Amino acid sequence: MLFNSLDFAIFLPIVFVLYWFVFKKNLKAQNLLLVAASYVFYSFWDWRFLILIIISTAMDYFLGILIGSHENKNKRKLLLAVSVIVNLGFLGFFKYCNFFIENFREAFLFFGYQINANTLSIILPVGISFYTFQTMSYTIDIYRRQGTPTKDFIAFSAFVSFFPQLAAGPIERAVNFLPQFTRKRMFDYAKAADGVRQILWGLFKKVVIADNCAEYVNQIFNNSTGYSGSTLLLGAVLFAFQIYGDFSGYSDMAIGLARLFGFNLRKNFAFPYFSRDIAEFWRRWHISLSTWFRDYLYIPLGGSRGGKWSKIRNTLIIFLVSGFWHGANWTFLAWGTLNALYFLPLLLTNRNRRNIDEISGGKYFPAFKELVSIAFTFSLTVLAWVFFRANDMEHAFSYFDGIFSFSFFSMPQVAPQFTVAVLILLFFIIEWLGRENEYAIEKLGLRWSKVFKYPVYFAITLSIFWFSGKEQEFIYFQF
Amino acid sequence: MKKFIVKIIGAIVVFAFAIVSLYLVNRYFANFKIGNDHQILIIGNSHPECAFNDALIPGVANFSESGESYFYTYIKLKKFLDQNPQIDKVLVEFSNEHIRKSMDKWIWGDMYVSYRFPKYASFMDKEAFDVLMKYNSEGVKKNIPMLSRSNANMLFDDKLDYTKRTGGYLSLDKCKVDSLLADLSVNTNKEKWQGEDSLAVESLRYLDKLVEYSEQKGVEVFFIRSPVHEKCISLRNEETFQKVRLSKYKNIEFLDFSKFYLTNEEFADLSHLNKKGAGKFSVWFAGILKDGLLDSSDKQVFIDDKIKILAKTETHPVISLE
Repeated sequence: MLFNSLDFAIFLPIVFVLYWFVFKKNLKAQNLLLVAASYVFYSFWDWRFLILIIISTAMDYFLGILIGSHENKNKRKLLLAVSVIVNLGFLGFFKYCNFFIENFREAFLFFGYQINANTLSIILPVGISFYTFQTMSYTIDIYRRQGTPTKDFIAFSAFVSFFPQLAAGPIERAVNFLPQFTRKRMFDYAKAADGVRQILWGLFKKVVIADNCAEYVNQIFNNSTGYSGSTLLLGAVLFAFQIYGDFSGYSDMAIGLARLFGFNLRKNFAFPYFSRDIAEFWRRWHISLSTWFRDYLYIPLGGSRGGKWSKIRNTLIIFLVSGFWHGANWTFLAWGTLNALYFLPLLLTNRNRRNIDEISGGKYFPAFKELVSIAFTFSLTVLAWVFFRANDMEHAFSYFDGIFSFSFFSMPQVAPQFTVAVLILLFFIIEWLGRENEYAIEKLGLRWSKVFKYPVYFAITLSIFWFSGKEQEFIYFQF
Repeated sequence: MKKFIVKIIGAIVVFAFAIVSLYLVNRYFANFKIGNDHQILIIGNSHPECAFNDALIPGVANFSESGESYFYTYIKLKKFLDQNPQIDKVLVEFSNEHIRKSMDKWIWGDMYVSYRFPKYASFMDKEAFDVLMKYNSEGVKKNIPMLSRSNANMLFDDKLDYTKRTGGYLSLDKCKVDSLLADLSVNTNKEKWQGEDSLAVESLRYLDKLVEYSEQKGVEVFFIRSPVHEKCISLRNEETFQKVRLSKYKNIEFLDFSKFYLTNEEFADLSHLNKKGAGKFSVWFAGILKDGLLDSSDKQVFIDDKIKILAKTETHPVISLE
């Protein structure tokens, strides 16, 4: 069920009341409730894939204990390998099987051989890319002796299946998140109120910004051959807003929902479109995934240590794998490669950690140089998003062809309605003003009197109802 | 905790109050009034929507709408008849497609629910809700926010004037008949009777309700069939259509204009008239109404004779539509 659905609006209060009123005094019962609620939540997508979560949970629970109890490094390595292979095996089968079959067939055809390899009718289980990575981080951390295995199966199951972040992250680390299931949770008014505010803002981003942009993006991308360069560029820019609104909106809702139940999830987006260079962008976009790859792939490969070629290899691997994680299509690999090409010059010239301070530190307006950097970085990401959104490589290249044509200088043939354009602008301003917070409206109206504060929140809520676009599924659910 | 719950409930109550108020205002104060000089109402789908230019037909109001099933037409018609006692005749489009089982999808298909549920939900009774929930509960739930928005738009933008948003003559400029005829490779053989299972169920049930309600209000109901091109694919099931019409609706007078004389240039496509065709047909229709079509004893003979005269002479004046 989507967070912005009627089903969820009924589901959430029931779970909330049971959690804080019925099972408040018993931690195990609370965790069991979370597991049951999370499985019900997941079943609304497809109950048949619950078995995968259960297998992944049970396997990594037992493997975690075994890895933690063995001293022999080879045995521990073998047990870890089982965890990684099974989890990646699930991912590989459900997500990439058909991609490999099709490309295998194409490769043979290229050399003049026709092979009879049929693709399978495989449904991609929702959230598989997220929860497999989450459970793998558990076993890897135990192997590295950075975490200790838990003997509490219910707590571990709740950690794996926690419904606010089950379908689309943030991907949590066991060392930070699992202990929250073994500690008593107390209701905190300020935390819960903050959670509600973050949910509201997440809904606004998803329903008002992302879904409204999606209508134009779909129209432009689905008929790209008929549009001018300026229209295609507008489509790419609107997609940048769509994917940000969609994914960061979902993350905000997940974090806000977790707070309602006394949990703290990590920040997943830190206003990435205000980044001054690509390295900063990747420190601010989908933080939980990029840090996962950094800690479990990039650093073990050697990271930024070693020679120039080693750095280039590791960087390319990371971005290619990151691209491939997003989907079984050459376009995602191209997106990853392009981002690697953006990043490498900064890395090789040691300028990748230049911009780690707050953007325009406390000022209302950025300096001109900063503004240029922000605009340039945003443009690079917009161009890369074309690959992300395109149906295939041919579509992507023809889209670029269309952008970089003489019609680039004409007026766009499609433009958002005035109200949508105003909402996007307002959204942009609010995000800019709130860029030093956990989320844009975190401190909005905190010191205002109720006379002003409540109408503002009412207006945001009303705008969610009034300006909601046609319902679109969260983009990242397909991963 | 108590403070949090109280505030959340407070916020929900405020919103619920706003949403329910919008719903009630629309339900009880919606305006479906048309001029007192309109005694005849035409309702149906895109066929009459494109065929009857009511600006050219005195005394007639056309509130047909593309893709509208009898389920929604019934809801709309009730409001029109309740607020317009001067209406004494209703012409309901009843054509070959209306008997097909696929027409039931026009009630609960996702596309149809997204467009019509927000507009008509404020006037639905429990039975209508039950039908939609039975066949597409997800679609209904998804469109509840849209219902609130639609209600708000109707109140603030249209001042609750539903006559602006519930159909009307649609003028089409296009003329694609020649290209369609060139492409016509579909099997145009006549369809044989395929049994009751091939017929629409809910859609025809709401046609029955529509007829019943009109009769209760003392309004005379006529079924009409708008002009279509002779090669129109929907005519394939003519045998079945007539069988159903004569068995289920033999008591309702059927005014068949499907063979009205039009050239290819007067059709938008094989099923719909364009502006030129609608102008010609509407003026002619106004003429036969004035000549006493609805009072004649054998209306179909009356129509057929008038069509024959038109076909022979083609001197029928067409008023400029600009």
